[in-house]
Amino acid sequence: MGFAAYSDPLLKFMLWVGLAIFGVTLLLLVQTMLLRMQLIVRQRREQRLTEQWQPLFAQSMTAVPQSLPPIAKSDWDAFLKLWNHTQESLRGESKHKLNQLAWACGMGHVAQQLLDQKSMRARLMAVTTLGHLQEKNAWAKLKRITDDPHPLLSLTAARALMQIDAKAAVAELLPLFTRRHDWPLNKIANLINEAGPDAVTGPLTQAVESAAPEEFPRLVRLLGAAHSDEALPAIRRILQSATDDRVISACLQALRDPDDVELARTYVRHPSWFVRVQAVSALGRVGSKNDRDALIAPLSDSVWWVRYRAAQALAGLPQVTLDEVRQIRESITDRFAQDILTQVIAEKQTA
Amino acid sequence: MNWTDWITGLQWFFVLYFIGSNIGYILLNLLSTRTLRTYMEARSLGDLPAYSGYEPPISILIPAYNEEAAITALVRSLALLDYPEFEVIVINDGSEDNTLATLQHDFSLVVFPEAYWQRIKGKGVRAIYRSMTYPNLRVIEKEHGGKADALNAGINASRYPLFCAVSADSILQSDSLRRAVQPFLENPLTVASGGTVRIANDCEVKNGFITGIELPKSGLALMQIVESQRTFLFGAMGWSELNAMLIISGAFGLFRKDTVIEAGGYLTSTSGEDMELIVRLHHMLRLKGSPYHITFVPDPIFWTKAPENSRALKTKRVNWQRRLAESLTLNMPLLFNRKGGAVSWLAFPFVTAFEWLGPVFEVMGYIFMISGFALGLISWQVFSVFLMVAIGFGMLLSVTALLLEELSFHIYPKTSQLAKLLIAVVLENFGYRQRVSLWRFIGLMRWLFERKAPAK
Repeated sequence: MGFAAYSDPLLKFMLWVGLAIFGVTLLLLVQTMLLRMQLIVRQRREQRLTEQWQPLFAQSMTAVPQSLPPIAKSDWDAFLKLWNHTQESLRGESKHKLNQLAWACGMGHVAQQLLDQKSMRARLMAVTTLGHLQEKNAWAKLKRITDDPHPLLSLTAARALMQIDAKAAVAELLPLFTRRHDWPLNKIANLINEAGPDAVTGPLTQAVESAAPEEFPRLVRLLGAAHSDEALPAIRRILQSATDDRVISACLQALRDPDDVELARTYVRHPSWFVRVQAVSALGRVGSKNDRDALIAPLSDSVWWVRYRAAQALAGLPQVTLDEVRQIRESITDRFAQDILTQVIAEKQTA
Repeated sequence: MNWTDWITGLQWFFVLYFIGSNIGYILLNLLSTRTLRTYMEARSLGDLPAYSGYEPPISILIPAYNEEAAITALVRSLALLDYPEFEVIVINDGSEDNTLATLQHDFSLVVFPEAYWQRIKGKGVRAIYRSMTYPNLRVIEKEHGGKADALNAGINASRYPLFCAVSADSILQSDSLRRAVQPFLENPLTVASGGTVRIANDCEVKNGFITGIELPKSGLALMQIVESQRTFLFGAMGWSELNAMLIISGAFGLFRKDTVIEAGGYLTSTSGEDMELIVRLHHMLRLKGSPYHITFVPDPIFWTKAPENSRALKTKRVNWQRRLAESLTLNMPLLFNRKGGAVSWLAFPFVTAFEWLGPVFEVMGYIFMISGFALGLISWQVFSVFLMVAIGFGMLLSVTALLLEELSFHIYPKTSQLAKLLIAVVLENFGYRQRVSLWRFIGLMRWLFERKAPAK
């Protein structure tokens, strides 16, 4: 074999492998160039389409033009992309006007067709379009898609449902908000913000009251995203009987009302540091000058974050001046408490 | 066995080694293609509202040692990042130049009485400064202890749950943090994310950001673009899909602070602290059985200048190989560990065989085949098949990386740039790759005989 020739079967095989590699490489080179050419053609087409349709979009804000140019099948994707991007930038009545234009172009039916395609991009585009169009007839299909294992597709379908009918959608989606851990919390928060507090606060509050401890922190954070005080009574009730540290911590984060000061004080000496840190922060938000002494002890806490938040809370209490904070620093003997107060005083001075 | 059997055995060993390693890379490539496709589909409709206040705040850590020339531009560019809440901490690691004075002058620094929380032990912190003009900028002045020690000091001083380690010579994109944080938002189990190193030579830079993308005029830097595409776009992307990515570039990496502190922070006894930390995070979390994710973000996130002369590139590659060797040997119990999953059974053995020890087989393979052929011990047919396989696979892998780039971000928009890259993909296999293999071989030998790589 040391002096093998091409007649050797193994060598012959290797030769074919080598030739195949070169062949595939050449094909990929060609494919790369074709892709670039395709990209250039697509970009030109998109540019042409944008130049043609952007003025029509603008015109439709006042009245949808009577005659609209036909949209070739090959332009559906580019049109819907442009249309969806424009929709994202609009508010109020303008959105409805743009919807009328899309219906007039037949894009509602196109989106329904695309919904049944296999391509993820086509389905995403369809779901987004149907959401903007508030197409009630697509409700059942969109509802099914919320169970799709692909998080982006299912979440986009959830958004579409919210756009079509926020109240009905919340009822359908609430179990998914807690169950679908692959749905990022910030994306769900976006949905809730878009739907507005009226649609979500009531059902969310009910869900919070009946939630299992592991679901609770997630739901309380979502309630926070709804920026509503309606949920506070429920949060107070839960906090009074809660034993799970995560639940307590999440509830403390949501406290905003000075009436809750007693609740916040209760947890300042809790064994879990992440409960203590939320308790001192809550005391800073809802407490008064009377809480000065309650915040001095946590300045010597073993955890830096508790000390820091306690110092911030203390310096931020109503009617507590920086001079008073300085006096407190002089009066205490614990070095850690002194250091953290020194830092917070300096922060206040440079803010 | 006589000598001809030995030669036959060896020649086939080298041919099969080259085939085996390249098949491994091709499989990784296929995996990356699938992942990248899904990623790009999701990205193509990225027009849902981006912010909701749920993006975790980030501490950006910049270790600086004798960086007076670059530090101001970098810090100013960071102030313009498109992200809701972040702080910048520059750690002046006992610089011997005017790094601190430059920062003091350019950012109106004042000494700040901070209660420094030393969760990771390290060299003494002399002072902490705060900027009067940039409220979210702090500077830590400390004794020189190396990059790892500086990063640990930065972690100690950081306020936020995520920290981003950035090299002083990196150029970020305005959306770098927004892109890098996505895995943390999408999967709460994410503990680290990293991105592709893009080559900034000859690109237009304004206010610390890339404003015009050009290919480098230097042939050597051009080859490094091809190399970087291969390493990151399908190397890192493929391993990330298996949650077995072993390397996040030290130039830009986003980490969950608590997890890094739990792992003990950056290791100061190695100069490959960036690679070592990732391997150690896998090691710690796999062995504990804690679910986690270390993710690659394929978007262009940061840019850096590539060496344009052989000497500088050689130094870089030699040191890289030594650091890789240190990172792997320090975490050897992870290899074939029954709790280690894809890291222990796929990534670690693969990187050991083809990245760490690869240069030995590659260099020996070339020497053996060339000398065997020259001495008439190996037939020209076997020699030509060897070259065909080694060079052909090299080209195939580079072309597929370029194809992935074309399928995804097409960073280089001009057709002439693509043509230039296609030529580089071919030429890279005639000299450049072999030279890099030789430098990595030297790095391996130096690691073996000198042990510690020079500190960064």
